[in-house]
Amino acid sequence: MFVQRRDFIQRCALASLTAALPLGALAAAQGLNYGGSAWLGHYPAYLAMSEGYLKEAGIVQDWQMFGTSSARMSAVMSGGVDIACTGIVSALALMSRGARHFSIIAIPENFGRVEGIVARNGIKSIADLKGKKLGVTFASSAHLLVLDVLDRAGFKPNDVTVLNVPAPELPAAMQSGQIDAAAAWTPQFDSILRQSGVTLLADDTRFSLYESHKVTPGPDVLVVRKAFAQKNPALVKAYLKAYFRASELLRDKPEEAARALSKLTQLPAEDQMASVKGAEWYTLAQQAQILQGPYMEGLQKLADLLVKHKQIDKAPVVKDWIDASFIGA
Amino acid sequence: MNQTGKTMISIQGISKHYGDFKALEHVDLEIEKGEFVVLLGASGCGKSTLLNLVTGFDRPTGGRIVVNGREVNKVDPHCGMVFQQYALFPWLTVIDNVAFGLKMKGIAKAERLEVAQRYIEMVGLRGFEQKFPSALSGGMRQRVSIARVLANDPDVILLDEPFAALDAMTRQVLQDELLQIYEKSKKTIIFITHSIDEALLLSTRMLIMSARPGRVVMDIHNDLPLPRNAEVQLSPRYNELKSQIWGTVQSEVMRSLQASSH
Amino acid sequence: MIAKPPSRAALLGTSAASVVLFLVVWEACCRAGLVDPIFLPPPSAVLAKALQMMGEGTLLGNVLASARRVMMGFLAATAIAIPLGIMLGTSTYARAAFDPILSFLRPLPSMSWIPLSLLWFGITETQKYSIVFMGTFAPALVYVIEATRNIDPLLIRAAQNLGASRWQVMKEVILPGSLAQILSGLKVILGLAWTCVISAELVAAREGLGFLIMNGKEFFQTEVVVLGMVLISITVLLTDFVFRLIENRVLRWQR
Repeated sequence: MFVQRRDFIQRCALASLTAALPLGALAAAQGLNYGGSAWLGHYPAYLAMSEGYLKEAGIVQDWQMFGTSSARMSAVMSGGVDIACTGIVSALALMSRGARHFSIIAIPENFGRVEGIVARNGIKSIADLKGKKLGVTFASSAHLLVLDVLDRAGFKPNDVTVLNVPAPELPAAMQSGQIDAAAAWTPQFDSILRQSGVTLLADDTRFSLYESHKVTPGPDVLVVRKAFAQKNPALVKAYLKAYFRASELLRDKPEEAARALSKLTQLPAEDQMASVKGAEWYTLAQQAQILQGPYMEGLQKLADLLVKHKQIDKAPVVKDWIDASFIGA
Repeated sequence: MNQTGKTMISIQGISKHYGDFKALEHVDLEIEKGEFVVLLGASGCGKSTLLNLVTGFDRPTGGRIVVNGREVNKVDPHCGMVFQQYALFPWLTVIDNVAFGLKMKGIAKAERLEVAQRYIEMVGLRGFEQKFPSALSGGMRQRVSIARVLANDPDVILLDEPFAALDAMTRQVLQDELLQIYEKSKKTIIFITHSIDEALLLSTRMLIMSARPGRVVMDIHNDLPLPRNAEVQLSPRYNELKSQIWGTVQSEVMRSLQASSH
Repeated sequence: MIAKPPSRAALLGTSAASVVLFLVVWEACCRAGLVDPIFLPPPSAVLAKALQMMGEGTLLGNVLASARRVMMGFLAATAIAIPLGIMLGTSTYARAAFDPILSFLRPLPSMSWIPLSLLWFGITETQKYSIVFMGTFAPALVYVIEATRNIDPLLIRAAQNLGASRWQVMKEVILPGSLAQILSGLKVILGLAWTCVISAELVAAREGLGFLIMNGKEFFQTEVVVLGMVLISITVLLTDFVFRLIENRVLRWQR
């Protein structure tokens, strides 16, 4: 008698659960390729995979690691990657060439203090950088931060020797004294800050556009390959739902999220928590306003800044690439 | 047999073995200054090996060689060698080839080019000083080779079948020239050939070597008169010498053929 | 009737015509929209970029920066490899001593030296030269040793017979005698040096053709990438041409 009732409750629960699941789960699982890395912009996509949200939605995500944004965007262009979070600089470079292969469908987060300029050897301020060697990965958000900060400090082009050093090499270059200062993003940013005798000269909150538009030098955007999206609109919508479910986890349960993420980033627990907490994780509901509002204006100004610093030839009209059709119900 | 006095080359009890293979065995020989000695014999009887021991290219297994009072234990420019394959330095002009030995001695450029010029004219190659060996015929290259050795003023000149690769007419011209140079310079010469006619033509003394192991089996003084023109070459004495040598050489060739067929 | 062999002018004309045809087809495909300019820019875009960079004065600077790095590394490698190779070629003992080190060094690609070179030399021009050096030294040495051992031993005997000492043999016979083979090997090594310089410029460079290509790639400026490649080709061909002139002068005795 007791058993019967439990049985009955279980069966009801199962039935309602099944009804709640999206239709796609009953069909065969669909696959897509995601271009990721250990950068915090990829946390939602990673969590959506590791916590099973994507699986519940019937999506199989193939995670590919990319060392640079440009490599990731190349893969998007050539069809090897379907969805990716990317620093907007690479996307802007392609957009300024008129590439129409992708659309911007969401903004995952906003962050501050995850990249910056760190110096050693008694260099205490930006002005002290004169005549010194600064290492940064060219054509990255950190590079733009450097250009912006040096410009506003009144430096002329060759006052500071800016050297192109790939991100993974920056900590070693700092440690061995080959460079006097480094501009890096997390996780290299964190490891450099932990070296002895270093001073943080400026982080991304010192970026000129952050002060006015809360736009950091390298805001992230979520892009999708247009051809893929056109063939699988329902899939993309389902993906975004699972994706932002992971964002909620990041916002509401950071310790749990941090535990799962340390497998991706190899960061120590403390740094991982700081990284998760340091970003403002947007929700799906917020996307509509973000994609149409002043944030976009800030992104357009960013494009103009890139042109000013001769990083790209001409500024694309950013809103022409925004596709807000996937954030709806 | 002996001319006036001074022993130039003394070969004492020389043997040369390569493992089990005995190339030379107990060769004893004295060569006087100014002799033109021809070594005759079948192929592989050790004539070249003996020459290599005299120049110092090889060490004997037993015995010793003394040249002009000095024992041979390294390569000595006092025994100038003329190779069958000429061995001219292809990147040097004729005159630079001829002057090579003088350059090695440290003689100043102007002086050594002057000396070289003299010897180039001596071998009849005036006008070819600035040519490279690749532009010369075989006969001319051999002349350069001879001039190169002469310019170094060695005590002894060794020639290992120098004219074998040349055609009959060129060979004849060079044989004449060599004789002229010999008469003018009075150098001691050791000349290897397997041509009995060539031996009779050039030598003052002929040594016939046996098949392996190499040994001197016949030592003949060549008393044919000079110049050895057509008349001399058709004389009875010529034929006498020739038949004397022929028989020995023949049997040695047979022996060496039989030995190699085992 | 026996056909006349084609004249040099005719052959040159054919080569020139094929180049022109290739460029025309390429340009036409791009104009017709068959190829997205991001994936392959038309030759006119590459040319325009070249002219723009010449106007800004940046073109020559990049070419010369890479050429300088190539030359320094290459010359250092050959300056050591030639005498060392001759000595190793003539001494079996020395060769036996060096062989294990050489066998270990030879297969290492220049890129694998980048981390060590950064530690030893820091982010400097010397570090770039060292990459070119490490990529070319071992192969150059092998070429020189080979060339040395290919010398006709009779020439060495002749030189000794003419009174040359051991050093004189090396300087007066082996060096000039092996020069032909060494020079032809060096042409290959020079091409190798250019590969090394490109990989050296991926890290910690601010100018150079390798840097140009990498930077262009980051910003998807494909015409810069193509321009960089074209410049590399042209520069290598030019150095090849100069090499051939040197060869003809030094080796005129071969004709």
